[in-house]
Amino acid sequence: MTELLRAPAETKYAEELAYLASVDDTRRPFSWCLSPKMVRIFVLGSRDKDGLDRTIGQKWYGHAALVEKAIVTLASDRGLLLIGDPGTGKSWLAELLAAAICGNSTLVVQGTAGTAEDHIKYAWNVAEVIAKGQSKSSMIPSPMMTAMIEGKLGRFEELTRCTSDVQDALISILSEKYVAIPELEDDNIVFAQPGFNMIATANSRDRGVNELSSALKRRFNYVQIPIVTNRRAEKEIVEFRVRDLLQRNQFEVEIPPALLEVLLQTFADLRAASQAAASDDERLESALSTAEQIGVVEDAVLHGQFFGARTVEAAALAQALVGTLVRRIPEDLTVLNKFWHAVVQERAKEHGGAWDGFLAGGKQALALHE
Amino acid sequence: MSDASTGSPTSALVEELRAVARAFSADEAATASILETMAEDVRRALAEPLTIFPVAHHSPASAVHMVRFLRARQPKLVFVELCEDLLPQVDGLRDCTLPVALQAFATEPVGFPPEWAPLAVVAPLTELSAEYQAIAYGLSTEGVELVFVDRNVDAVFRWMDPDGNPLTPVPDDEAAGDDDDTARLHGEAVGVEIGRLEPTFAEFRDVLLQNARMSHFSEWNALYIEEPTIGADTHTYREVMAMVGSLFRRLGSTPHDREEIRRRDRFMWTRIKQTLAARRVDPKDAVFICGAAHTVADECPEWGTTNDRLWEDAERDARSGTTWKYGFIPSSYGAIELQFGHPRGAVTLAETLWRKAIARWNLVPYALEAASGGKGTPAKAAKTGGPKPKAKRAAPEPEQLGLRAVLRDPPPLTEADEAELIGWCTRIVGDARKHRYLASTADAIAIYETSILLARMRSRRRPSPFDFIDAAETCLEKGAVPGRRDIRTICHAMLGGDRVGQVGYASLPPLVQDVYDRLAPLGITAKTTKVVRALMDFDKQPELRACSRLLWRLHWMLPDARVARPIMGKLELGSVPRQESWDVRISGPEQRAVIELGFAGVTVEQVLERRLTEAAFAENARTTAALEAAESCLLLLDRSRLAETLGERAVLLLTREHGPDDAAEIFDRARRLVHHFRADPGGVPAWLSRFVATGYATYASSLPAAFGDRGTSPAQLGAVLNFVFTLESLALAMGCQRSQLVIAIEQAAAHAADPEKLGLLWATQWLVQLRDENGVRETFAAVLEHPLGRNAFPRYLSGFLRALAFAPKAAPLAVELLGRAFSVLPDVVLLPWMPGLLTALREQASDTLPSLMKELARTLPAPDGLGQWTPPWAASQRSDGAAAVGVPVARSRSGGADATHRLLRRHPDATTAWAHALGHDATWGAEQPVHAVADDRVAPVTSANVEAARGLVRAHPESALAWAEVFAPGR
Repeated sequence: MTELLRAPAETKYAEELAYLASVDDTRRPFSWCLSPKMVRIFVLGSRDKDGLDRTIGQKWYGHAALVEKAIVTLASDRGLLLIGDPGTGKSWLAELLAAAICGNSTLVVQGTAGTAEDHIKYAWNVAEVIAKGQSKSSMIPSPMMTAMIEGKLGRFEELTRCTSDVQDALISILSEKYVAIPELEDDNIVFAQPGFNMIATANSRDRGVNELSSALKRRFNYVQIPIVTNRRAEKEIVEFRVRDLLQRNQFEVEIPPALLEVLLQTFADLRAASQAAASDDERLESALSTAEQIGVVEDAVLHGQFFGARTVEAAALAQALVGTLVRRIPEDLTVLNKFWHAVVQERAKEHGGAWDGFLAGGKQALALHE
Repeated sequence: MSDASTGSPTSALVEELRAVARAFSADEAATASILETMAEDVRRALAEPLTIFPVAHHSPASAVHMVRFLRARQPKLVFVELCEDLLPQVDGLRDCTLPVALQAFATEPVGFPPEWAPLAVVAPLTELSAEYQAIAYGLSTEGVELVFVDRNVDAVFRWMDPDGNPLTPVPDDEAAGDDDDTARLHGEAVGVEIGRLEPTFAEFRDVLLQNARMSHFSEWNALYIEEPTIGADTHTYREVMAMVGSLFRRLGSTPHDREEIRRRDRFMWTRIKQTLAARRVDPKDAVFICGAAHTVADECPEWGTTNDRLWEDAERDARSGTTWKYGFIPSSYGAIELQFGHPRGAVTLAETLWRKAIARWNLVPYALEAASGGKGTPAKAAKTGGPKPKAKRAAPEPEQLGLRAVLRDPPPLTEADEAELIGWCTRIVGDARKHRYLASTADAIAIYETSILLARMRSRRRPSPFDFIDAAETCLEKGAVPGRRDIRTICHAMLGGDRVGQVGYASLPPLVQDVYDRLAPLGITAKTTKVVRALMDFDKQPELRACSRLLWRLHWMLPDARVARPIMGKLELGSVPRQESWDVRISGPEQRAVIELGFAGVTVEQVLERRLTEAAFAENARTTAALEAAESCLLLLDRSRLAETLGERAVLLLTREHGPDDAAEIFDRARRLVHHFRADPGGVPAWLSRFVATGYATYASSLPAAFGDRGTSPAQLGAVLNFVFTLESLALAMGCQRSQLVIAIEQAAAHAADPEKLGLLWATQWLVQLRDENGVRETFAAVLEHPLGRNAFPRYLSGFLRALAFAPKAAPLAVELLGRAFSVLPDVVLLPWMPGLLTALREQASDTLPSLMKELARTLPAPDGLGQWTPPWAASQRSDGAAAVGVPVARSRSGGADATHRLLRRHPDATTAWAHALGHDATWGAEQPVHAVADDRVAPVTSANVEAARGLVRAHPESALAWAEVFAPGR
């Protein structure tokens, strides 16, 4: 297989999926590749009591109940809308579910302010239309229509970034499960095959920008993905993703557990400070999600590899954190400056060790911004 | 299991456990050893001659089997794992509506860290508590004795780690919501309950939940313990509970918890053996109801009745010296969940299972009925011999399954499950619609389908309430909650909702009974659970005044508890209301608040008196607290002797005041009290006169420091001066000297530097005649004209305006200065000043604004005349030249002077006579148009009345001589 920068989940975990399919003896809904229980095992990892003769690693971290709700929704008549703050793993969960259920997670429509109905339904190959006229062969089906035709899961990223009229194009797809093509005289309806459903994601910070219509809302089951605040779970996620990153870059670097603790504690403190802030100016713009922690570690690792001693250092981690979180100048800078001198300094005084380097690195990074 | 009846686990079970160890463990021998130990624990627990009945708190399975066991076996002696000193209270349960909690309360702990105070222990009881079923059986069955065998409440705290926090509940995965008042019913009390079946060792619990793929321990408990055992036979139930207890004690408990369980075991078995010996009861005729963890034998030497070892330790009967008070408080499902760390709705779901089970097996649970009718409850004859089962026959006990079968097979399905789920799905859609969700029949179908799918995914044969709630939330929750309740809350309400208990009249402390008795005219009894809107018309029903007074006292003592909330009516000194309206509620959290008052005294008045005294005589009490206590005493208790004591305390504290921090509040209260007593036939009491005199002396002497101290704000300084000038007459009557004040103000002039304080100082100097009106006017004019001082003019003026509170005669000048400021100052100075000025005036609405507004109304023209209007001070300037900064005399007259002037013009005879007598011509000038009066009523000057005036002066020459001296040339 040609090496890919980022392989989709069904490719990356092809071996696990094939194994799970081989041992899956329970009933599968529609044309699903795996039964719901096996989908859950694929996403959340296996346990001893599952009776498998190999271990399936956990790929998404969070409440098991959320995954169960998502899976049963996809087996029902309704679409699935994953909603949550940025960096909570919505798209990753959607990709894993699509890979496990239908073996294809690439049928994706990316919602933007410029997304049009054509991107959801179909477009035309203009040259072919001019040459041969409108026919099915000159039609370019969207990923969503492809999913309908093949009985697979279509993914719709950032649904609430699209305007309302574009969103409402999904109503007939989710309700009637077909798309009419009025331009064609014959054979002008594309029916969805069994197994078709849709996973959409929406950013809860976009709430109110392009609110879903009531008709569309009732065709989706909402699953709220919360920010992970459990320290242990968060640590597992960061370790998992960083492992993935190192593997991808073929780096051999050890992230000291003490340093990881410093990062987790700092984010926990930042969240607490953000919650206690009285106004938006006093809190960081960032959602302080787990994804941002991963981003910070990634930056620190890359910096260490290319410009440092090929190790991850506390100062580099602090610099990466400041670089990641400062988005508005001077507001974010002011917040971080205050935080650094009030909280990080105290922690360094109390614990020393990695905190000292972290404190110094952060101050240096803040001074550079100033 | 063939030999289940003998109580010994079969070798097949042990063999099966070994097979489990082989299959799942890398260290087969160690795992097998643990599993075999657990099997041995079960064997020993069931082989004990005294029936050990393991239960879990608020477990429907435990309660169902308890009912079945008690009805079948009718034991004579019932030992319960509850604090032994709570036993005398339980008879009060007859009068209560469940859930309620047995409470022990100590306000002044002895021998415990002071930060633990007040100490409180609660043991909540619901109908579905196995312990309640046992208590009800014990109390309602003749010949049965109930014995609580656990350590006393004192030991609950004595055995705690003194460095630990006694208020931290056992951690659970997700705490119940505490946003509801009923969830906070237990306050900060430490909860004790029988049968805490929950691993406290966090790692063990996490592994347990992760393997089961569950979020909450209660979900695990429902699936692996409740469901398999609720439909099983009682023997199997005991086996399962003993095994789970053994597992959690050996692997799932922290070392500290294990040690505490062991100590309690030693205590309880000692008590059990002592009681059996004293009552001469065969252990086979008794039952020991305890948590499942207490079934483990090998850690406690005293365990079992087959040995006669007793725990002889000084610790066993030790006491801390704390005085405990006992009683009941209302409880609720929400409070139980919050206190014991259960997820929201866990007890509601347990109740759903309990109702379903008793219906399925036609069981009649034990219940207590009111023993005798108190004043607050309808009387019912006490029953003996236990409640009679209803006509329907109890279903036969299910066949013995045995531990192996429960461990191996899922519980059987019942026919009712399908219909029940459909019912839930349709009802939740209706309920969601009522809460503004867009829910339809299609949603009901989706919820049903999702529930089934979730249950299958979670390896359940039928959807549990947890699955149903998750399904409903998935299908109906759409990002934002449209009403006040989210879907999860609506589901819990639909499945039974929270229940709030009520403590019955007979079980209440005397104070609370007294409250109910005295509120009886309003229709409020111990059975009243809703808010009562009391409309009182004292003209028609004067007897309600007593209720009103009680409600004001409750309102004062429990301001946050919503026990008594006045809707209409105020409590003011000297005011006698004719009508009042109240919202009164003494149920749930409110009843608990009143009950806690009951632990502090016998009557509301006694508690109130104590609280007032405590507030005034607290070690760090301030003058305001003592004065407030004195005022509250007059308002609420009308006891002048106590008020005097409190007032004297306020006088003492006032002498120790170091600054004017509380001057505003002190002045407000003192003025209110003085005004009240001046209108009272008894006059101002001595303590209050002393207070005013002390305040005058203290505040007057503090003025130089206050004017100079940058930490004293102009508002505080204004309050000090307000006190001094407003209450001056009373202070002077008490022997104070004005010279003290004058000297202090003279000294203050040397210290004041802040513009606002200087403005205030100039006004003060004017009042004590250290400066005259023109002097003040000129000083302000100098500030305004000075290029560097102009920008600060608003601050000087703000200070001057503060003086209006105690110097209304400054109002005309204040209006003039305001006029000058607005005409001269540029916008860049005026605009920033305006918000501050308005805010300051608003704060002084009652003191400053009346005189200011009156003067403004007098000075300013009507709106239509504004175009041609010239301010009097500007007109004066034009006519008198630049040097004159004064205003015409007529303009500067205050309201009082103007009235005098009019009076003299109306009746000029006396004045004319005086003028003639003094050798002057009596010529009356024309009145200014603005003050024009009806001159046609002025009597003409005639020789007759001139002669009469002369006669008057001759008869009373003293006044004339005084006038002559005044007008003498050269003076």
